[in-house]
Amino acid sequence: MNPERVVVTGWSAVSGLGFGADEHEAALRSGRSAAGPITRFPTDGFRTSKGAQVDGAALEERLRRRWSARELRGIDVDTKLILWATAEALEDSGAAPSGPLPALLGTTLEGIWQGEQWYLEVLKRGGEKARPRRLLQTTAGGQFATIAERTGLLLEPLCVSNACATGVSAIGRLYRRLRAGRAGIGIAGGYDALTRFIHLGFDSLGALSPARCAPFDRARSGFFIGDGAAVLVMETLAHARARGARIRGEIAGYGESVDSHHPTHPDPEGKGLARAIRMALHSAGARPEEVDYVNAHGTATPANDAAEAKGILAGLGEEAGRRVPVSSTKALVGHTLGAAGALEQVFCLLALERGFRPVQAGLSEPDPACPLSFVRDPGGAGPRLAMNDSLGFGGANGVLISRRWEEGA
Amino acid sequence: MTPVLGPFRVLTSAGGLDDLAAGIEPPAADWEARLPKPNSLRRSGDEAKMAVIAAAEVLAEAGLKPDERTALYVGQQQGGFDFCAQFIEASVREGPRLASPMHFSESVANNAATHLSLTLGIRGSVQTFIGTRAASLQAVLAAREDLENGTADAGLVVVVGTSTPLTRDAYAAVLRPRSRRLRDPRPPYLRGAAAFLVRPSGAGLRLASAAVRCAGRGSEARTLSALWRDVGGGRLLVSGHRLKWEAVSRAVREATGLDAGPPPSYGECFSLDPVLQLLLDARKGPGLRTLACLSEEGTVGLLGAEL
Repeated sequence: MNPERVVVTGWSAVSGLGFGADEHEAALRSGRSAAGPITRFPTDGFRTSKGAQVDGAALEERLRRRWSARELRGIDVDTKLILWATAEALEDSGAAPSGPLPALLGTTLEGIWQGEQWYLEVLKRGGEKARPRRLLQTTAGGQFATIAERTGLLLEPLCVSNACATGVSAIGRLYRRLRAGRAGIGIAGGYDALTRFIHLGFDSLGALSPARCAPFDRARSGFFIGDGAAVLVMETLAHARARGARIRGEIAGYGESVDSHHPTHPDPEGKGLARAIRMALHSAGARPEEVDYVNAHGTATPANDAAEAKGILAGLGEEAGRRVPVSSTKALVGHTLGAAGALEQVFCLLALERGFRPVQAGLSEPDPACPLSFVRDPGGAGPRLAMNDSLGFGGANGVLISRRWEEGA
Repeated sequence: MTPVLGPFRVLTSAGGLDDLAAGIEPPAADWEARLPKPNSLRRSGDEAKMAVIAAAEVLAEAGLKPDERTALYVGQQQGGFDFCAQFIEASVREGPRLASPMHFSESVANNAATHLSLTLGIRGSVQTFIGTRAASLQAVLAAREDLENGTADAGLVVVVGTSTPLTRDAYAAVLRPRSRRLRDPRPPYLRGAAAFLVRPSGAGLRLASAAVRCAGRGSEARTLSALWRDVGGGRLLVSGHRLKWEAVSRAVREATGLDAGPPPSYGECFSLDPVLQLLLDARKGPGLRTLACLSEEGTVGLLGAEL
């Protein structure tokens, strides 16, 4: 049986840069960073207090357009992000699914904001006095239930958690399901929120930078954490055409692998990433030289960027790898963890649809160990085939290839 | 394709499958001594060690050396909250810069998958599914999907059941608040791991059906009813939190007309429970059994398997 083509008919994105396509495009072109002082929790004694929080009041206002204050009571920031993103993406697509809807959403932290608040209460007041209901809202299953209840959808839920490759993994799994004709439509994406635990956790690993986030720079010293959520509505081409949907782009290929090298560091030679890139290109039926934009994982840690550069060169080949324009948008939105791969996929689709490339912000002097071509100017002829790669703890690698949609294709 | 599940390995804080079936609690096990690579998980919890041991033994029994076509699926309802708690506590009591990075990396949700892939040399697809009691069913579904897609030749499924005293007390306080006043004994809790292969053919349990749905809290009976109509059959097994057993039983009766029976006699073990129930029931002999899984937060799953 011929594999189905998989297209995107709706999307949503929320991050410290704002909400939706227009707010993100402006920042992706100009290189404006969302980094600012953390206000969500006290940062006394922290080594760095920089993060990228979503505008809470703006999020609340957008949620209140759909739900009452009563319906939103008790829902915390992480659940609010994915709730908004899911509803927004479905509205963008114009789809009104009636049967069980595959919902492959990824998170590295689930509702840890609630869990952390509960445990801080335990430490302060004792276990008997802490509100245990907060802990039960920590699980991703509870977050999916909230989405089902507020949207009225019957979900076929799957919470994927592959560390920082989570978003790409969730999208990749839905891509394969649709491509095999096992479903006509589904949603996939990722979400996570900036919390005290995750900020200190990455800081304990030396991954956070007190200075600017400068992926691939010789002086790079890490990243900052950001809130984020992004959801894609994906359909088979036949399903999209049957309901007259507007097609925003095509997910053309997916590849994945595991380094089996170290719990937190990638393989310094990038061999696992190269394997995932080749797998993705093969499933897209594309040649390496056709890729004309790469959204890199680019966390700006010394280990990641050098290994990733090697992986890109090995996966695309030396010539194509050195020539293709590359940028890491983590310099703008921070590392959004479970949302990262999904948010970056939306950025790729936005770039393909609107004809630009997100700039590489923060870059002063490229590291010679990362001999890639970085996007300095967003303009010029827009890309036609974009590659989005993510690397995660445990050596997880995920690569998505997406194609600009042209009617008649 | 009708995939086959097996061979299996089960390791828990109360023993293996034989011990659970007999209701015997063996002496505490030395997990460290059974690890394929000694000292490789010395900073990890017992659940991670049990997961690695169980997976290694399953692969050995099957004579399978993992390659890029062997995929790994880990299902667990809860991640490493005990390590989260240790990290948070140290950051409060000792200072924000003195919490241990080891506790942070052990708390990551895909930590078990990381240890499994590093120890066993798995380099194909590695996926972790979290957040619900039905995570074990989701792992089986994902394995079946990849076998049918042709993206894997065999799937190694590892299910982890974990809890901490704090989370147990929280569940008791919320799911059955009267227990504080009535001083009802709380259920025992079990920690452990199960590993098994999912393959296109071979000896083992044949997977007859599987589905997972979520319509939200309070919709469990309606959701289960629709699933049972589509894929139910055979002897019914039920997995749900012990402290919500009355509500679980009511939903099952409403949806299927059948009696859920009492909860298993071994301890509460969350996402590990569906697998333990299936395996213990398989000992009773051939036939179709369908496990209905009603998770605390509203997800409902069905898995039918035939020996």
